[in-house]
Amino acid sequence: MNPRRQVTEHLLRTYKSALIGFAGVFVVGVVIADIVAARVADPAPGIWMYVAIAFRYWVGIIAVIFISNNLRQFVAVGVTRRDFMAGATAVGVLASVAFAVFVPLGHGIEYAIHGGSGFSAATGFREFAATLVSCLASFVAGSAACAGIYRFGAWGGLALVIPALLPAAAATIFLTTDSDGQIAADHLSFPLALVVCLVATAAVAVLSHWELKDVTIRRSALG
Amino acid sequence: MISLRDLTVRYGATTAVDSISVDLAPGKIYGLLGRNGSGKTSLLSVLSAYRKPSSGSVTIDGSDPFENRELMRDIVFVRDALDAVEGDRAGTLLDLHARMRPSWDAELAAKLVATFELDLRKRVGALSRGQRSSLGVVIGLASRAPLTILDEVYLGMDAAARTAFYREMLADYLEHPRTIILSTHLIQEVADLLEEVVIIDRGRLVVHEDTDTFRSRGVAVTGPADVVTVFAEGRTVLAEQSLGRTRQVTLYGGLDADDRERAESAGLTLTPVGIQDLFVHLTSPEHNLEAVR
Repeated sequence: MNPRRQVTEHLLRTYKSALIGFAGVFVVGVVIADIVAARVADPAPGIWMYVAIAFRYWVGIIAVIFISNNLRQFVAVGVTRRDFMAGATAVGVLASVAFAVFVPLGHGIEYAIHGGSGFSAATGFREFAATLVSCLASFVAGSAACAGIYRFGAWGGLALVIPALLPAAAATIFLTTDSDGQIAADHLSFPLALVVCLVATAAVAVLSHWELKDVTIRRSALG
Repeated sequence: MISLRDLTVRYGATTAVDSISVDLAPGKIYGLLGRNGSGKTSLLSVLSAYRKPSSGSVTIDGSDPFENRELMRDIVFVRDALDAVEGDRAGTLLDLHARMRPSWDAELAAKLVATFELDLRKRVGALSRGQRSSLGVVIGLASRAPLTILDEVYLGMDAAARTAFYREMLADYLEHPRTIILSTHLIQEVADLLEEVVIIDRGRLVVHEDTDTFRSRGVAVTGPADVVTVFAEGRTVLAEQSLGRTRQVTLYGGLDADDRERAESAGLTLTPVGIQDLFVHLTSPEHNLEAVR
């Protein structure tokens, strides 16, 4: 089997239950919050979109875990860094797509249950696009930040953390949504905001690739 | 064939491996010997594609192993700090190797797990030092990789476990010959397993030859001080000690039949020097490496 696919499958197998567990707890929490909100306010405010924004940061954490935990493990079983990166990126993309579907889906269900305001197909699509791009930005940012520290040590890597976090910062500034799924800030038009975030993501993906392509396999995450 | 050419590894101003050139023929057990900080792990890290050299080259059958998908699959490098996710269970780690290693032998793995009494349900982070080492040995041997590199894998293993390790390694090697590089400080324990020794000191290659030849190069000459002094003249003296009028010198370079006859007729006693003693003398801080090259 292709090693990239083996990496993807192993990572999915390893982290699937944790991710589903987290998402399950998350959904239960939102349902409880929604019930409480419906009792104390009329009309009840939407809770889902406030909290679903956390998904994009989860993807960043996943990237950090991959680099700090799994890179040396896979090189130790004979996988090249290149194959590991490709396999891990596939998981990052899959998780991003899954969250991007999950966010508007949750919002739509919440809207259907207690008639929260402002949900439509267009809103759902905007939420999908914003979440997908934000998740990808977060994944790349987490990967580049962690790879910098892994490669250059805590102090050397610290200098690279700021450029590494640019895509996540751009997504936070330009693509944060409010409880109705509307983009909270109006600095840029939505399509332009997507483009800016994607460009930042692509640039930092190059940085991450440069950090990892020939990195020394160290004994610990801090080099 | 593994070929290192002018291989150098630097960490900032420190040179860990200093322009080493050596060829290692396939299908042998090599002992990589060196004191702490001599550059063994740096050398092995380059060989196993864990790091790029600062300069020079490594080739395995003519190809650079770094980021080489085919070659990396055929190399297993087990180092003292096990490269595993601490939260994974030992069994999960073995399953991963079983899936990824083309020549993984599940039967051997199971046998070794039983030999070392490993609890596969335990998390890697919860294993004792010796158990982690044993797990490393299971991975190293059951992978049956054409190039197996074991870097001080015995740490924390008790005498019984180490004996089992040596026994299993030799048995499996005889049945499935491959290149094994064993980096160790327990020289006396493994001396009989090694077919060739590679000694590095302060990053530089000191010795690379077959074990028997290397062993034959060391001889301790004991006798009256003045006679020993005359006999040792012009030879490489690794060590010397005196007690009263008796002197003993450790010579390096071997003695031919004439030398031996001359020594015996002069009343000198010749005794072989063990590999460990030779190693200690060759890598002692005051020793001039150039003298033995």
